[in-house]
Amino acid sequence: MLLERDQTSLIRYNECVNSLDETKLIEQVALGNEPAFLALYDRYASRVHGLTLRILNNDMLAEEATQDTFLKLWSRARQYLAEQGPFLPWLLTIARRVALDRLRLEARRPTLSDWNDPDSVWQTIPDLETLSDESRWRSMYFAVQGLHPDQRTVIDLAYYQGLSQSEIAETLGWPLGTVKTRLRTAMEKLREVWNET
Amino acid sequence: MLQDEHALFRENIPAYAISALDMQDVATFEAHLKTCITCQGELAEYRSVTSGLLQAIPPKAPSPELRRKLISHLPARQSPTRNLLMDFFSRFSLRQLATTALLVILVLSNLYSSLQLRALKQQQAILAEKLRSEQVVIAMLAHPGTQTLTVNADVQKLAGSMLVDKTQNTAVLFLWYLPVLEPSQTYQAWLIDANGKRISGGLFTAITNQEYTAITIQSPVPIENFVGVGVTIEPQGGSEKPTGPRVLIVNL
Repeated sequence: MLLERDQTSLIRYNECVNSLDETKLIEQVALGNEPAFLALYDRYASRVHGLTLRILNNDMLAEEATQDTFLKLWSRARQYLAEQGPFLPWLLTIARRVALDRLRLEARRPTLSDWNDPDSVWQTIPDLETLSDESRWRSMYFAVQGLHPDQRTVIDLAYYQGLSQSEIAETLGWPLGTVKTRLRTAMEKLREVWNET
Repeated sequence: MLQDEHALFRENIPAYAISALDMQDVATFEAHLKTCITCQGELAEYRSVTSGLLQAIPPKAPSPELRRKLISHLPARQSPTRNLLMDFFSRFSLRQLATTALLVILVLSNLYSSLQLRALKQQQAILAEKLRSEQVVIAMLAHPGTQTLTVNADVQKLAGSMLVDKTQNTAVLFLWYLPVLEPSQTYQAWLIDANGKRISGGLFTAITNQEYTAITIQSPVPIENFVGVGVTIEPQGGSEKPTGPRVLIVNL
């Protein structure tokens, strides 16, 4: 009986924590509140894992990088300052660094992305015309997809594989000037899309 | 600044924003960036593009096992107190903290040495007093006029005797099983004359690490001028006349 009551209280507490807004959740995580931490995990684990998997292209390594990212969140939550920007890009920046560090550690050769992943749930999200943050990210996804394949490859190797322009030129066997031009052109196109949405 | 030079740096903004600028070009670009408001504004726009790129990846749920693993890997819960302490200490540099720690160690070490010195001095005073009593006892025992008088105790188990040469100014009390008093109290010896007047014969405490206590009583005049010696319990520092309960009396 007592156990049931405790479980009910715990469920109610967790429901209460889950309904807290993001800033409050992070404040709670900074104070060592485990349910708040798990609420953030439940909210963003798939975003973090999507990114780490995109960079590492290996399920096991990606899960390890996702875990490391959330452990860093647990220990560094107090470093997040809401006035300096939204939480998700901050968390994903950590995830990108963790995954790129892991990629260098494994000395893995860069793999080209498959932006047309058929399993992606991304394209199934409706309402592309809204101006919400979600729709802006979707627009960015489609903008990258809409790039010329050579430009997309350069963006991919630079941002998701952590290669410099010279390293990209060496990897692809292209002249450095070509890489620079393709990267600059691709970024200009993405910037236009980003500013329009 | 030359327009051509600015244009060259401007071309590097997208690569810098996406972290693809070669290392050898980063320092010169950043030096230019510090002085160029136009480039700073353009970089901010490209940085928002990279933020969009971060979020443009399709979500992919990790295995449910990861959540369980993560919970088991969480380091010990941080307490709010610890956070407050961490926040407090993070305001100071390592050098400041090290200097403060060194000062605290020096002060504590000094304090500890002072306390040790004080304890040693107290011990030395007790030993000196004991030695003096024992020397007096030996001298008195060797003296032909010395008498041994019985102590009449008012405290249970307490027993003893007094060595006295009535023509001298000194007597020695030997007391067995004298109770140890609270720190706020002391034993005080009294010399009692024929009129019942009492003068102080000195203060003393029970010696804790042995069963008997030897006390030397000093009188301003020969002991034969008194009819008795008494001991009472008084407040620390002693009293002008007896105020506390009597512990013993010796009839001279």
